[in-house]
Amino acid sequence: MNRSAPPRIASWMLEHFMSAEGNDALAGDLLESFRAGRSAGWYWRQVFAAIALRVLRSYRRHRFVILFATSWAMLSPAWDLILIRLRNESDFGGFVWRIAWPWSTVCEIGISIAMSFLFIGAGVLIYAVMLKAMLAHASLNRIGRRVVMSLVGFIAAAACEIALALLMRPFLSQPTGRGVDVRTLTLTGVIVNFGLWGITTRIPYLVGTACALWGTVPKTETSARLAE
Amino acid sequence: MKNRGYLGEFELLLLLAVIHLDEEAYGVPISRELERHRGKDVSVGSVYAALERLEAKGLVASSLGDPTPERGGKAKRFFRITREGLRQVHETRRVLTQLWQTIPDLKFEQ
Repeated sequence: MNRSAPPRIASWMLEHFMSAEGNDALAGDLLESFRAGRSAGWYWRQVFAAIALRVLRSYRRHRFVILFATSWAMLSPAWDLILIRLRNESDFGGFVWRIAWPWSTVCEIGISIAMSFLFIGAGVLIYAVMLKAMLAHASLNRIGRRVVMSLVGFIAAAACEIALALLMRPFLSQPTGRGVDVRTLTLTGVIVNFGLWGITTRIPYLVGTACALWGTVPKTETSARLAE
Repeated sequence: MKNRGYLGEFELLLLLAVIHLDEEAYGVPISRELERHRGKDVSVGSVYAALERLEAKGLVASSLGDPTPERGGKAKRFFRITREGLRQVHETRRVLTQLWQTIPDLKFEQ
C-alpha cells in the first residue's frame, strides 16, 4: 500500500455499500484526507462509521416495510398448514410420486415455491392497496423487478435455512420418530407458534416480502437528486 | 403555529462551520473545523448525515463542484447556508444568550 492509495478493501466497501445513496463526495473527502496524512486506521474507522450510519438510516426509511413484512410473515405458518391439509386431502402426493425422478422433485419444489409466492403476492397486493400511491407509480418493469427480487430473497433465505439445518444436524438431538399430526393443529395455533418450526417457516416469507417491497420506498430527495 | 425549530448542538456547530468557511464549505474543511473546536475526531459520514438532514429542513443547500484527480475523480459537495438557516442560527443564539444571562457566575473547578 502506498501513501496515495487507501486500504483497498475499505475503499471497495465504501464504493459498494454507499454508492446507491450518492456518496461520491464522501468517498472523495476520505481520499483527500488520507492523502493529506490521515492513517489507514482512521480511514477504516470512517468507512465503518459511514456504513453503519447508512444501514441505520436505511432501516429507519424502510421501517414500515419491515413492520409489514414481519406482520405478514406471522401468518405464513397458517398458509403452510392450509397447503399441507389440501395436499393430504387431495391425491396430489400420489400424483407426484407417479412421475419419474427427477421430475417428481422438480414438480414438488416448483409447486412449493409457486404457492409460497402466491402468499407473498397477496401480501404485496394488500400493501399496495394500503399505499395507493404505489399502484399509481407501478409499471411492468418495476413489478417485474420486484417479483425477481422477492423470488431471489425467498429462495436465498430458504436455502440458507436448509444449509444451516444440515450443518447443525449433528449437534441437534436425535429425532424421536414421531411426526407432527397436522389434523391436531389449528390455524390460530400455528400463527402463535414461536417454536423452531414457526420461526423457520416465517423467515423466507419475511425476507421474500421485504425484498418485494423494499424498492417501493422512495429515495430521499437529496439522494435522488445526487444519483441523477 | 410558527416553527421555532431550535437547533441541536451538532447542527448548530455545523451551521456555524458552514458560515465560517463560506465558499470553501465541503466535507473535509467542515470536519476539520469541528475537530479543531471540539478537540476530538469527527466521523465524516455523520457530518454528511447531519448536513443532509439540515438540507431536508431547508437550512442549507448543496451543489457539486468539478471532479478533481487528487480526490480520485470525485467531486466536492459544497454547502451554503440558506436564509432560513441563518434565521434559525440567530434565533438559537438569542435563546442561548438569554438563558446564559439568567444564570449566575459559575465557578468552574477542574
